[in-house]
Amino acid sequence: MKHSRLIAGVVGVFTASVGILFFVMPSAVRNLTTSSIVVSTLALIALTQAIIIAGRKRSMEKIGTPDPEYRTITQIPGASFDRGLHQLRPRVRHRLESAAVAVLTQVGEETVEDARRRLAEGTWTDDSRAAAFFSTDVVDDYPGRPVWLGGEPRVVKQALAAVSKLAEISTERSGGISIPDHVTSEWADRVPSDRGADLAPHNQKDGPGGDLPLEDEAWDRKTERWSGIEAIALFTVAAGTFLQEPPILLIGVMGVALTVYAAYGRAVEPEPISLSINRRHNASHPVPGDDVVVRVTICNESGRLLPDLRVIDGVPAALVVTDGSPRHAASLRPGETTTFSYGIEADYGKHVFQPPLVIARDATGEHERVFRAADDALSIKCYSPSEAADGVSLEELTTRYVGQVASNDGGRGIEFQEMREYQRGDPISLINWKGLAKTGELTTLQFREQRMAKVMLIIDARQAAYVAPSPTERTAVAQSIGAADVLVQALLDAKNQIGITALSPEQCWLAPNIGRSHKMRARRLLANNSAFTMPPSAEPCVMSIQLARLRRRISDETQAIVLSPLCDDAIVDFVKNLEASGTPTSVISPNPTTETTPGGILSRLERLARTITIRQTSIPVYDWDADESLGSSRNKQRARVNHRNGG
Amino acid sequence: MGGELMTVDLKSSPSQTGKLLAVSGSSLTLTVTVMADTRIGLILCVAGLAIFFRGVLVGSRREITVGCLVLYGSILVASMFGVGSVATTIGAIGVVSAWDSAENSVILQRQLSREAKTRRAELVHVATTASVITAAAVVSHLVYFSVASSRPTVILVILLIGTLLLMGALNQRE
Repeated sequence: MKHSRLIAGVVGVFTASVGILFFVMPSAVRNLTTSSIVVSTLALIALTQAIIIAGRKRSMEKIGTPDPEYRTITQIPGASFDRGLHQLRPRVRHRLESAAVAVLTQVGEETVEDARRRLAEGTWTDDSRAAAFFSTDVVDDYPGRPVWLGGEPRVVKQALAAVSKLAEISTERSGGISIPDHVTSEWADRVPSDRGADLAPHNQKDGPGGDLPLEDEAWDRKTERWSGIEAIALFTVAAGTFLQEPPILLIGVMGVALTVYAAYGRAVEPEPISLSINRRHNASHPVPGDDVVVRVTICNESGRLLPDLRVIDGVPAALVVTDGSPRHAASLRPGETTTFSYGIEADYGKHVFQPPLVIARDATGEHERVFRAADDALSIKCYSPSEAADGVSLEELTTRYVGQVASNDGGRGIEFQEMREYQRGDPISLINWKGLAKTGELTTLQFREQRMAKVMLIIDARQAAYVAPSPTERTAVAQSIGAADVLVQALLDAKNQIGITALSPEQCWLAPNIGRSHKMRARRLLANNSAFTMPPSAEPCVMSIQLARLRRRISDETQAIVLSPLCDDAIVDFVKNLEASGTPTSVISPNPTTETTPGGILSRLERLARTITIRQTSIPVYDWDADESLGSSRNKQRARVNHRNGG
Repeated sequence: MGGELMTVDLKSSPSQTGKLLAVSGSSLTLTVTVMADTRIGLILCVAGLAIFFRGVLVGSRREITVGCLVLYGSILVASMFGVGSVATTIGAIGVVSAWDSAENSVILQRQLSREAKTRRAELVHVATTASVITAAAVVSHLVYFSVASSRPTVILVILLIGTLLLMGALNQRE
């Protein structure tokens, strides 16, 4: 026990006892009433204690409420570069240097040694500011406002100039990156400081740092909302006593009453809270992009008044709120219900609502309980409509290998090819009986045999693939699932065998097959498999093991389409090794990078370098812009290539 | 297709209900100081209102608390200039109600954002606190006048200080 607490307690007990004694025997204080010494001493005690209490440190804990309105993403490409730019951490410098080497070697077709030499010499660009970032030999002769006048550090300006110049080189030689007029570090300020990071996983819906109770936990907290009321009451009593003003003393009495009220709030043990939470949504079979209205009904089953209830609904991690609010405040009598609704945008897959976060305060507001309420675990399943495959040219997406292959070898297909002389052993059903009756010759009908392509869709669902340009946009994994859904429908309709797997610590496997029931199995897997649920598994995903397992399970004639944002080097190695192992491979890559920040541009350059690396091994890579459909993005890309080739 | 994504502003000022309640409470203080006809009280009151309203507008709990302390000071000054015990009590009720509604509204906004419907919860909270303060005021009057009429005031002072010291000791954290 602290000394101050002990002293205050002892003095308090003594003073109150004296007060009670005098109250019972008022004659004992007759001589004290006018004594200024006694009055002054009492006022001084009150004032001293008021000052002590006022100066006491408040240690009110804060609850970081979650942001269920946004999607949970693990990374925003380039965000860590933007944030680390002003500190110019070694990692930032190393990353920019690696990107520069990649751009100069792959886009500029130089050797790595040449690229490093030109960077060191500063001869890779005419811009002295950009060159000076990598070279100590180059003098940055640009004028600029000094730091002490609010200007940016010279080295930061050099880094920004280098990013800008690399983007310019990349655009000149390979296209695909549009450079803004000038790159400034002000863009770094536009990156939400606490949302997304290049390396550190971040869960929007679990609040800053994920510091919230788990499903079975309940946290009881003192808000210390009324802390300081004793100090004000003591000060008022002291003032009333000093000044001998009865009205001031009167509101001092009121202060004491409020102090007792606050103390009651702190002292009372919180009782259990029982709520029933029921959700309904208005869409039985939503398609991606549909607005779904969620209606939440909360009933107080605690048998007592809940004066202050704050509820933050557990919106599925991969969905965004588009209308209304998933947050609600209510005051509920026993058995009373309250209802609120909000709109979310449907997206591919099965999305399970999480238990809502409830903050229940007592009437004083001094005590609050924070917990996850048991809910009905409502889910939304979202498939694409069958029409989604329309307009997607599979030949364009899968020109290399995939598609229906017609064989010149006659066989037991369905397309008539020719008639030939009967051979011993031909099935009776294929004998041309009409011809036999007409000409007397025994002939056999020959049909064209159609070989079906076997295609394995490999969705990159590692934690590194849960990237998006911002918390408001779909992650690359969600886009890949959508693309896979479209491909499954179109390829199966074209009589190809389709299988699905995921690069993920979670198990995800559907062997190649055909047919309507297989199509339903494939779409269910895309909607329900744990490899595609948010948040992604934090378990490591060892690519060499994934590759070995895949090679064991697929046959030699199987072709692969990898759906990946290509946001790290591991996936590049995986694709190259898969191709090298004899599996013809194509890549469809949703683009999660932006051009709105220096880090975003740098990430785009890095991704472009990976794309070129893969293409250099004759593996087709189809770059897919997030805001376009798969087919239209491919058409634009083809037009760009034709334009560059002068065709 | 889905609509535009809404952005969530968790640092905004209180809801309209919160602002209205805060203004109502603080206006009682202004009335009392105007009644007292004291220049220093009025200056304190205007300064307190300015700080308080700024705190309400920007959602700053610190400014709300500081503003209310200054307003409380203006009530004490008004009391010294003979505004009377009833007016003083009404002024104090106004200050406490204004602080309570504004502080509660700011916290609600931070936790639930402006889009959430909070009106009923805010009204219930303010009604509860206002009832408690009014009851406290009535009890205070009863206690004060019953003690003051039959016993020396110093006994009341001793009892108040003893109670507050005890409460302060009990509320102090380990």
